[in-house]
Amino acid sequence: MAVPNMPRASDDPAVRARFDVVEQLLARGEVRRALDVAKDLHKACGSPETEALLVRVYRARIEEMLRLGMPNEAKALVDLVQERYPASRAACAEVQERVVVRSGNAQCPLARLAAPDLPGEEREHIEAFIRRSITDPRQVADFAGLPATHPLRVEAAAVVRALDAVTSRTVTDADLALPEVSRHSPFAPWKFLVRAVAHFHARQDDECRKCLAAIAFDSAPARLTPVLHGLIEGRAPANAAPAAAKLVVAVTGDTSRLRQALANLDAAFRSGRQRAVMDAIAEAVRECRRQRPELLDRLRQHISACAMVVDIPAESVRNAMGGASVKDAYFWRLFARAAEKRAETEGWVELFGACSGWEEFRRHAVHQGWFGAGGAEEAAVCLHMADLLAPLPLREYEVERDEMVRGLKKCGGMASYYRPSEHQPPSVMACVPPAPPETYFLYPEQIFGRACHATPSPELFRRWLDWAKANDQGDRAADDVAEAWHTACPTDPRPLLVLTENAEARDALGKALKYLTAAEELDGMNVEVRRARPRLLVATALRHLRKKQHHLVEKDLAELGESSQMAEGDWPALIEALRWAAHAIPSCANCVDWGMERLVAAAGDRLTATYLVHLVAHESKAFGLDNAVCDRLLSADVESAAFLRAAARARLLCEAMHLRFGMPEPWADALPAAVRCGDGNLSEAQLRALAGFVLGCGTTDSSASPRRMASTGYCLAGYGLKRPDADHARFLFLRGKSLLIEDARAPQRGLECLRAARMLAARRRDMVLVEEALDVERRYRYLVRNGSEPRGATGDHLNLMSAEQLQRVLATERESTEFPVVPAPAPARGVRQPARSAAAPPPKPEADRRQGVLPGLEELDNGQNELGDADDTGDDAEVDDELDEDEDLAFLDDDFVFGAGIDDDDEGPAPDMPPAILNVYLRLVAKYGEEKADRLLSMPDALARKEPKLLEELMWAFEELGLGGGGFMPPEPRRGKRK
Amino acid sequence: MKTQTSNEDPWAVLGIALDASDADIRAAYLAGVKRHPPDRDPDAFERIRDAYERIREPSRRISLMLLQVDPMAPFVSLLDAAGPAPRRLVGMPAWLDALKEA
Repeated sequence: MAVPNMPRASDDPAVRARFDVVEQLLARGEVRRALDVAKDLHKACGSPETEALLVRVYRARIEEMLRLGMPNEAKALVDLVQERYPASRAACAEVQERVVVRSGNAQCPLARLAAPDLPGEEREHIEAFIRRSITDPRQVADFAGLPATHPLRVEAAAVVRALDAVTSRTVTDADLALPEVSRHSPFAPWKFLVRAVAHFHARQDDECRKCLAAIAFDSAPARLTPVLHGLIEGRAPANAAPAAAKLVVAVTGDTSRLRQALANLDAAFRSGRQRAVMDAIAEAVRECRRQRPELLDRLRQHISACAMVVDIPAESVRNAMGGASVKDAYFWRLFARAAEKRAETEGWVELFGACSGWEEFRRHAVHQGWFGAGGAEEAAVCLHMADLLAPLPLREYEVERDEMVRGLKKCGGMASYYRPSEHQPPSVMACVPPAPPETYFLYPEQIFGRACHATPSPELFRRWLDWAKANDQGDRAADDVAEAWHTACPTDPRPLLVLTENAEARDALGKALKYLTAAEELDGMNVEVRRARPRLLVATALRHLRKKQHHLVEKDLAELGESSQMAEGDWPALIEALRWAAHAIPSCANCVDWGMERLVAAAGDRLTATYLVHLVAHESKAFGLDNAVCDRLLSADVESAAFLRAAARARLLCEAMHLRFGMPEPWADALPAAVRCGDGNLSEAQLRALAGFVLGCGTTDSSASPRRMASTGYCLAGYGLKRPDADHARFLFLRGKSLLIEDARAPQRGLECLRAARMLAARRRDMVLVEEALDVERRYRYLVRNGSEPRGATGDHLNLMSAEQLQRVLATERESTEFPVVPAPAPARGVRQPARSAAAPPPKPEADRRQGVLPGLEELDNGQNELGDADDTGDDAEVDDELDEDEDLAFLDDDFVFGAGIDDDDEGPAPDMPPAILNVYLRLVAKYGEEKADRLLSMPDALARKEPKLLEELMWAFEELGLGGGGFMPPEPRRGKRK
Repeated sequence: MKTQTSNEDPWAVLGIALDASDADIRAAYLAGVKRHPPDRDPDAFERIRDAYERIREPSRRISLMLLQVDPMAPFVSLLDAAGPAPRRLVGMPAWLDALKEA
């Protein structure tokens, strides 16, 4: 119906623009407006192009009518279009078929299939119609116009059965096989649709997509492809028909209201208003039941736990939830974690509840098959309980625990959670706690025992042992642990070494040697085992010397000489020193020259020989001889480097022998100045030993201040850090320790050093150093936070640093040679200048320091030297100058150590000692006598072992005076060192 | 870009039960890696590998099992942790209606 002389659409820009308008309206889904514009355009132009456009818009309108459920109107419109535009018949054929099917007239073409003489061409046409237009296979399956055995009816029925199965239940492969439907059948695309739906419900999305891709694009089932893709994504496709959107919601659910209800519940808990919480609980439970019923039990369990943390009565919560939560393993794990959270605010007593919860979790987890009984998992649960309880203050803990045990036995433990009114499922009721209730989980030793029984690993036994030692359970307890370890791991020499060290600490050297022999039989090449024998033999010889059994010493020396280990290092020199002592002690002080030349030859230098003699004499309790030797042999001036080497060698020997003896007081006093003169070409091991010594325990005999020792350790660590091939992790650790000791000069820097040390140590798998660094860090934080942080707690401060940060810390510490100085606090009114500072000698001339020459012993003993007070002449002296008079702080001048003042005048405590510290002192005197109390106060480690509580009180007293713990750290775990 | 995976439940990521054995965990990991190779789906691969690393060692697995729950976590996290809602079987008519109107 083209109109002559009309412009072609492509020639006229105005017409072209209207074409574009129609396209845009169609794209936006505004079909009716598009139809109006297309009609006007065709009326105006009347070209074949405008007619084609109009027919296309009509088709879109017909399809829209079908989507909107208007099949009769659609059929009328198709008829109209075909009548008015005959050329459009071919273009409208497909949509006409769909209109026929939707208007319920599919029977017309299907009925023709029954004709016996149906031409093949027409059959193909009808089958194509079925493939393209039949959207419900039931129309064919139930079509009475065809015999029941007609292949198409059979195929359609099979498709209906399969589709019904995959949309209603879990299917098997047999359900999906559809052998009736061949791949040439018009129902072949349905076969892929059925499989796609089955894969979709089985969450095999990739397979589902493959099946969707296999559906012929022009077939009827292909129209469901976008809907299924949307279902996989969990949302309806764009421009989805209402039925498709409904399907998506029905299949995947809509959790928006549940999300809102849960957010409201969170807000209600945050508000803390109980009424609001109850309302929110009820709403959340209601929505959950409606939208995600499978999550209802979980939600109830979380609500119960959360309510417990914020202390809302369980009964009210249960009523609001419309029932109790299921008390399975998941619940008890939540319960225990909630109790741990409560302990953060309500105090450590809540940890008992946490342990009860973990015990219930353990039982239920085993019952539910989360893990097997008596395995590594059970051990892990037990260890977690032990980690919770181990750091608790023992004395208060025992009182509260007894109370808790009584309470548990009285109320039957957790039995109330399993009452009939709780309506617990049979699976939970099958795991009711025993009666009377178990209480092992309140006793760390029993928890450790259980864990080690479940998994007898060395690490677990080591932790048990550490706990037993840290909690001062007595030597017997540690022995019991080691015995249990040995029984569980009979081929492991480590428990035997523990028994050896314990026996050695009790001075039961014969027993120690017996254990050691057994350890040697198991692993004679073990480094620790090899180190133990010379140590024990030397200890035996020293004991014989102490007991004046000199005739036995020769035998000991002979045995020592036979030991292959004794031929290495400084051991031969020590043997000579023992030989000398065996001869000199029974003689007299005049016999000190006997064998001295041989000893000096073995030691390599006179200074080291002197130190060894002093050491042996001191350990043999031959004090007169000791002093005589020192007086004679230490009287000469010595170079600082030689002095450092001698001190370091001797320290290494002391370490090897587990001797707590430090160094003579004058030596300790001279050490800081010697260290400042240079590193003395010490080996790395010697640097470490010396730094570890000054930072570890201070000196046993010296009155050197912790601060001065900290600066000395700081300096030694710096020497180590500057060496390119040294163990930087260890030296960073020592540097960090020096910065945290005493009054924590630069705590942030010290903590950074410790973190860097941990990182480096972890790279080298040096877990011992990692643990040591962590321990120092925790102890420091324990002091700073008034003990509020439990041991083993994790937090930001335990995080490691980046590689860049590590390099920065290393570079900073290498360059920092001066011990940091903090500005002194503003002096209180009436604070007086400390007496010692006032009387301090003038600073040593710089020239002397450069020469690195130390004064003789006489000078040191007379207190005329300035080396011992070197720090006082520097920055510290400036700090001291700012101090004024203060009676309470007078005893705490720069060099104060416990017992120092007491030793000096031997007249009891310093008169200006504050009451809190005096109180501790008097209790020590009452218990140990004056002499021993004085000695204990001068030996913090010994005090920590014997009287940890008193030490703690002492530290608090210092804290209250604002003196940072007085240079003491909390008690360290005891090592197997000989007393 | 590295995905934030540390808060995900590794058992859920690997699609295994809490009581899965070492062999089950490894099999689930291998199957996951096969489904999401790093060159084609790096994010999913990263999630799967991270989940596997977190639970491959029994000791880490147990610690995680004990400590992964947070009683004070937002309740909405329950929905997220549970993953997508189960696909409900709604019967054939709903599917055919959707097809009819498509």
